[in-house]
Amino acid sequence: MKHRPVMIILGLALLSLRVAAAVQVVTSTTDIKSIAEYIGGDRISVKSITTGKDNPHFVEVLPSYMVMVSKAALYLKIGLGLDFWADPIIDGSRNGRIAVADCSEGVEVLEKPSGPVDASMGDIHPQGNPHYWLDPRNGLIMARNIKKALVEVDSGNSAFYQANLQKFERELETRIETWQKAAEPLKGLEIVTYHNSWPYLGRFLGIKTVGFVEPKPGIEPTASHIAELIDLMKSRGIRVIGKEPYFADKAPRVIAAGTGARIVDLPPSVGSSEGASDYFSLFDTLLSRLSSVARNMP
Amino acid sequence: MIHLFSYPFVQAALLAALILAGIHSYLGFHVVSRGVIFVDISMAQAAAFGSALALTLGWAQHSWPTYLMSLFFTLAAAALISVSRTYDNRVPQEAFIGIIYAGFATLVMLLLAKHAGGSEELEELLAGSLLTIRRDDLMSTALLYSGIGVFHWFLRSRFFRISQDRMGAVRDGWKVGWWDFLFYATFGLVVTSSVHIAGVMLVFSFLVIPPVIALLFTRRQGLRLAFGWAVAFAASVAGIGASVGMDLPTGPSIIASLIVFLLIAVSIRQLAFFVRGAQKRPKKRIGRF
Repeated sequence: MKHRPVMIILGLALLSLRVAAAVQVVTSTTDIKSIAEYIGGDRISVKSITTGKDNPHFVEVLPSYMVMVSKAALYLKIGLGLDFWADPIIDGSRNGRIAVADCSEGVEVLEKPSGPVDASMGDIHPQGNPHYWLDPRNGLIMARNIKKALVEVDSGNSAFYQANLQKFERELETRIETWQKAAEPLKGLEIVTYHNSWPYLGRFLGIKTVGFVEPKPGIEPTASHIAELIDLMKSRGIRVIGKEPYFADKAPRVIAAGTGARIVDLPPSVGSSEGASDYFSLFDTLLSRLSSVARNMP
Repeated sequence: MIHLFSYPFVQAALLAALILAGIHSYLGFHVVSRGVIFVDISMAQAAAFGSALALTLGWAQHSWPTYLMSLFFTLAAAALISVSRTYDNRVPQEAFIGIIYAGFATLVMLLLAKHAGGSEELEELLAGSLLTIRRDDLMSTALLYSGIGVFHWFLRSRFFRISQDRMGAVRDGWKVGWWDFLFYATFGLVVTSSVHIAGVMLVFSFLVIPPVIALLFTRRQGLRLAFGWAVAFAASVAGIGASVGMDLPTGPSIIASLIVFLLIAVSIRQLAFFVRGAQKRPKKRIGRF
């Protein structure tokens, strides 16, 4: 046992070599992180700037984000203007070697505004609605984009990434079928949500979002808007208010009291609520919450 | 700790903080000597209002129209402040300055209420974003402040005389109003561009805290300046170190470190009073505020 310190030092040295060899990747959101981990396996080390618990539309820059990006070889953006805050972080980190990839490349974008966009319309993204990861079929596109970016920064492992991509695609395709089957009873369900985060999920599950608690994206609810929303929900018999966990439930509670509707926490990202621990379980959680609230609809 | 300073972004933030500390603790001497402490926070808030207005009109945060809009309102606030000085002296000027501050702060809130992400913009106007400062901003700020520094160096005897002995300067027939205009115009230029990179609160703290600490210890002009700079630089290094080490927002960390320096300075000063007071009673002179 007298060699123990030596062994520990050797072990630590090996460990640090192992860590150093992993490609350092930073992502804007946990959803990209989850897919990247699947494809990169132990060859990469991924950190996400947002945790899923906070609103990804706005991020206060902390030194640790800058440190992460300073050390990274690859930055994976969500794109479509959602993570506009990533650019100052990437530029500010002054990391000349970092590659930046946009995971939204090739995605069919919903709700592209037809005319010019200005601040009076609220937080409308000129490129269209950016919550595309909430349709798992877009997860396939994201996975391909991530694999392509990984191969570009680490071509030595390209066969490994390719094999993992295929595994991921097979797994996701199987699950997409299961989810669609499980969502049959939800077809045609009309709901109201806090923020306009759900057109992609709605398209996938056949659910329609007919109103928002926010009068305009990113704007706090006002009294007159809440009153209008209550009237709309009563006239159409809408009984479900979906809420992203990072918004306050004050306004939804007022609406629920006025309509008898139920509030359901819908995690928009991996890590947003319990159970949604990776990209697959995110949809499991969303589906089970929506199904249970639809089954028990008053 | 030291290794944290090897990151280029930390060096850039530190450089920015040092540039800000340099010009602001100098200008702060005039502000503190003139006893118009809240002039700067009002002007900074006016700059923030101009910037918020430009944002709601659709201009980018770092663009010429935004800067000019900001400068316009800063100078407008300066004009309001100098008008309020001539008012009936039953109302202290500080009251008007406070109202100007509260007015512009309220206008910013009203403007940003209808703006998506308004509360985040509001926070950035207050706390700044030193960590993500762009190279261009760093360069242009350094150039601008050097220019203003040189300008003040040539006119130093004028500005210092008016700040410290206004009545005397008036008696000697100086056109004090004209010199005030020059002072506030250059001051406005500095505040406008500082607010864009550092936020209202850090600008105010850099202006006021280092000169106050220096005034606690010395009344000699040159020494006071040197002391103020030393404090501002040390607090910048400590604040950025703490920010990176503990992963806290940078602007507030520097402010907190300036306040810690002030607390230490006050304690030392009090201690010195007690020690000396036991030997012989000195004439009361804490400073001139």
